This record gives sequence, structure tokens and C-alpha cells, in this order.
Amino acid sequence: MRLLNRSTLISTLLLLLALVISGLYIYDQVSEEVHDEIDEELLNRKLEILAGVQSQTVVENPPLYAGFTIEPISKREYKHLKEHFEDIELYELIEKEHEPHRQLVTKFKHRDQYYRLRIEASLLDLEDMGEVIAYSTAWVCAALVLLGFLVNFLLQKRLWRPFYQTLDQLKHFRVDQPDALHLPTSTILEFQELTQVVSTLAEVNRRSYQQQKQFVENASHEIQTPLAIALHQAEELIQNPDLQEKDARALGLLTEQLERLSALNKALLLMTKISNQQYADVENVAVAPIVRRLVGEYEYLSEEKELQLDLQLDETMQVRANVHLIEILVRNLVRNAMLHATENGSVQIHVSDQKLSIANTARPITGKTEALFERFVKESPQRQSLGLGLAIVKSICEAYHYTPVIETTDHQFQITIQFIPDSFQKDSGAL
Amino acid sequence: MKILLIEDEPGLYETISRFLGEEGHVCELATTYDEAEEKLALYAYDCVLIDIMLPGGSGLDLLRQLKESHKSTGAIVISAKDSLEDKLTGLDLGADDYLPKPFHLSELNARLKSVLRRLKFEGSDTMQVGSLTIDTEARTVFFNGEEVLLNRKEYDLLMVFVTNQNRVIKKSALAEHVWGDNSDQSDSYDFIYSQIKNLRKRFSQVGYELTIQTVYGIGYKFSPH
Repeated sequence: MRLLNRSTLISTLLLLLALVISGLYIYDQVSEEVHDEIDEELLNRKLEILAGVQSQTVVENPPLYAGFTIEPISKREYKHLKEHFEDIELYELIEKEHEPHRQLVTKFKHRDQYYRLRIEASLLDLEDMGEVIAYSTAWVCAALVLLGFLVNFLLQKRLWRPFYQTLDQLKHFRVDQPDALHLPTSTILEFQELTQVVSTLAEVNRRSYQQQKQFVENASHEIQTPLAIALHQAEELIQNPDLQEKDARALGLLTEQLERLSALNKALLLMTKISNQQYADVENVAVAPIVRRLVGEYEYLSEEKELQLDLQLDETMQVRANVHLIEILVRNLVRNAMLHATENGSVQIHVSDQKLSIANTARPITGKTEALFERFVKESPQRQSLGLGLAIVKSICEAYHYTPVIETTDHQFQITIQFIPDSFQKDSGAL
Repeated sequence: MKILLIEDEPGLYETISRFLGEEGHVCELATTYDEAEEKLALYAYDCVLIDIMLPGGSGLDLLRQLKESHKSTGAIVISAKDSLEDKLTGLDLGADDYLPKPFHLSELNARLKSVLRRLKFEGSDTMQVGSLTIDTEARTVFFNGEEVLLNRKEYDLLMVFVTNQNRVIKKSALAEHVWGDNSDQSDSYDFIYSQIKNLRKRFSQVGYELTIQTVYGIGYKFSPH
């Protein structure tokens, strides 16, 4: 629910409550006033009636209903009776229902005889008044609610516009993109502050992202340059025609280790970049062509081992991701499968239903399968394997919330990547 | 060929320029942005090797200037920033190749020669290697007028040897050149051996002995005859 709608709802409810209370209060005040008026009138009539009674010898009720009744009472009753007002219901013949009345009960003594006098007056006026008050209150309520919604609508349109514009800008903000935020200007202090804070925050974010990126790239540079120098020197030394075998082997080993260091640096750099979300360009990537191309690239492995390849590729399947990352993901998996497949074995690759599944014939795995995703965990006897292949796969999966699942039997190793449906991905893809 | 090497690391430019000299090129050196800018303005080169990070500026700006004024000069960007953007920007600006550090000298040699070949002979030429004739445009190899049938990988492998004659080429350099720029390549080293064996077989089928010797198990050397 929008802030404005909620605030309108709350203020409307409070307003309604206030109006009901004020209506009741007004009714109470009016009814008191009306009672006072009627009581005064009743007292006046009592004086008139008593004046009329004084001139008569015998006190008796009027022949027609005249709004009062007189009845004789005993002395004892006379003593105890105190003049008072009562609210009563009387049956009205015309209306055919009970109507509220005010009654004055009083007493008088006439020629040694005691009497009780009841004088009634209709309270219908007051009832009408209550109705009028209730209706007016309801109308005022309705008008106020309508006004509230109107004001709300206008506020949303005008007053809150900078806020919604800022929100919209933030939704599309990406730290890796250089385009600046176009925040709205406003004369309202809070929005000015918001704009200021948001642009500062965005700038700080962008800068620290850039610095981090810069650092990673610089670190890579600083390491690769000395490695390049060392490798070039070794390469030149190898050219020496008088090279002894012992020295040649040492140089070979040296080169191998330097290259390994360089490869490690690249792999770790890649993972850092992935987790820094430096591969932010996302597009629809068809997986099947990438699989086919990479299988072709590693054909030498399958030919060498005489592997049987079984590709079942759904050409239409696309995932929303960075094309380079998908390629790296597929490359690592294809290469792993071909590399670890047993001689004369087979590799099966299935692409369909937002799933990529690669299986190869394998020797039984001794350790825990989850551990294979950790860095530097190696199952294979390959001498120079870095043990980073699946760790890279894992970091790509983490970046896109894919789930990699490993299933192993005694003769088979299978890894399945479940690409989540597009609708989820769109949200997770944005920063 | 006249080459300008723009690189600020003494450890790198010393080896590279000596190597290029040995390969028969005239190699000039610029170690700062300003020096490179001046040399590019004053002299003409066949190919320029540009490092991206330079004291005083970015090699990419130099590349832009070069391609504006001397379109026919080859340019290879060498960079330690293994960054995709730099690679794409470099190629967009007209670089003929992009080589991430660390690279093998033999690889640099192969790429340099390929660029020079493309530029100087407008992409069509036959070259003579010993008694072999290679058409680099059609990617075909002939011995005594008879074609040696090679697949794509075998041809690529042969070209590394051809561009680095009489040099020991490390197994890793061969693997990287033929199977692309992948880290963690060691698994493919063992296949180099069988690939070279296949290559020899292809040539012996037409009666030519491909003189590729192994050097103490660390690399191979091709000396054509």
C-alpha cells in the first residue's frame, strides 16, 4: 500500500471517529438545552393549571385530554411526593407508536384535599433534532472523505512527485554504469535532503565499486608483469643450444610453475570479478551453440580418449545472463567432463528445460561431492590441475542463483545446472 | 620490418626488443606516452606493439591516434589488464590483435608475423619454408607441388613452428596457440605429442620429413630443410 493511501486511510478513520464523537456531543448539548426549555414550559403550565384550579370548587380531570392529569392522593403520599421531571413513553394515536415525552410530576393542596398533578410535553422536537444532527454529520463525513481522496490524488501528482522520481531513478541505478542519476529538484526540505543523500550514496558506491575494480585489475597487472618478465627470461634461456639436460629440465619446471602461478592469478581474478558483479551485461544467451562450439574445441580430448559423445541440445533454450560467464561455465564443465572421462568412455550433454546436464563415465569419487565446489579441491590425478574449475562454476552459479547438483554412481559423474526461470532472474540480475 | 615497442617495464622491453632484433626486425622503443606520441608522429612503422598502461597516458589513446594517421600500420595491444573491456576497446579502435600478459615470445612472434603478413601482402601470399610452400590465405601447404592435407588444428600447429623456426617452443606455448587462450592448459600438453606425431605422419605421406625435434621434454624445435 502506498504511503499516501495509508495515511489517507488512517486520517479518514480518525476523522470519522472524531465526527461521530462530535455528533454525539452536539446531540447531548442540544438535548440538554431542549430539556431545559421543555421543563421551563412544564413549570409555566403548572402555574397556569394551579391558577385555574383555585377558581374551581371541585378539582377534577378535564373532560378531554389536555396534556395533564390530576388525581387525589392521601396525606402520607403527599408528604413523600417530591416535585420531579420524568422521561416517559406515551402511545400516540396518530403516529400509532410510543413517542418520548417529558413529564412533570408535582402536587398541590386544594381545600384540605391532596392532589397529584402530571403534566406532559412531547419530546418529538428533540428526536427530529437528533436525526438532523446525524444526517448532517454523515454528509460532512462523506464530503470530507471525498475531499481527502481528492487531496491525496493531487498530493501524489504534485507534492510527492520528486519522491517517486527519485525512487524510479534508484530502481534503475547500476554501480557499473557511468550514467549519473537525474534526481529531481524540489523546494521541500525533506526531498532536498533525500536527493542530496541519495546522490552522495550513489557516488560513494560508484567510486568504491570503481576502486575495487581498479584494485583487482591493478593487482592482476602487478603480478602478471613480473611473471611475464620471468617467463620471457626462461624462454630465452631455453634457446641456448649448449643447454644441458639437467638445466633444461630445471627450466622446464620453472616455466611450468610460473605458468601455473599466472593461471592461478587469472582464475582467482576471474572469481573476484564474478563476485564483484563486473560482468553486468545481461542478455538472452542460447546455450546449445556454445555447448557445440566448446565440444568442438575440446575435440582433441575426446578423440584422444576415444570418447563417445552424446549431445541432446534444445536449440531454443535461452538463459538471461552474461554471455562470457555462460561460456566460462560451459567451458569448465565440458572440459572437466572430457578430461575426467575414462578411456573409451562416454560424455552425455543435455540442454533442455532451463537445465544443462553433463555426465561422463568416471572412476568412483572418494571424497564428498560438495567439497568439489570448494577451491583447490582435486579429485583427479592430473598433475597440474588447479582445482579451480568447479569453484569458478560455483561462483558463476552463485552470481545468478543457479543450483548446481552433482550426482555420482560408481561409473558415472553427472553435474546439472538448473537455470532458474526468466521471471526470477530479472530481479536478481539488477543490482 | 620496423617495429615500435611501447612498453615501460625494463624487464619486458629489454627481452622483447632483443628477441625482435634476433628475428631480424628493427625494433625501436618508447617507454612513456609522450615519447611514443612523438615517435609515432615523426616516423613510420610496419607494426606497433602497445602496452595499455603507460606513464603519462593510456596506450589506447595512442592506438586511436595511430589508426587515425597511419591506417596501414599494424598494431598489437599487449596488456596485463586481463580486462574484457580493454580487449574489446582495443579491437574496436583498430588493433590487429590483443595479447594478454604474460605471453610467450613465440606467441608474440607468431601473432606479429601474422599481422605483418596480412598488412604487407594484403592477405594473399605464398611463403617458402625450406622446400615447403605455404599459402597463408588459402591455408594450404605444398611440397613439390603436392598438397599436404592438414586439418585446421594441424595447420595452426605447423604455423607456430613456421613462424618460430630454429627456436625452442614450449609445450605450453604450442597448446595455448592451438587451443586458444585458456588458463589451466596443462591437460592438453600430452596431446601435443600425439598431434606432432600426426603432423609428421601427414608430411611423410608426401615424402617430406618434418624436422621437429623434442628438446629435453620441455618443448619442440623446428629446423626446416
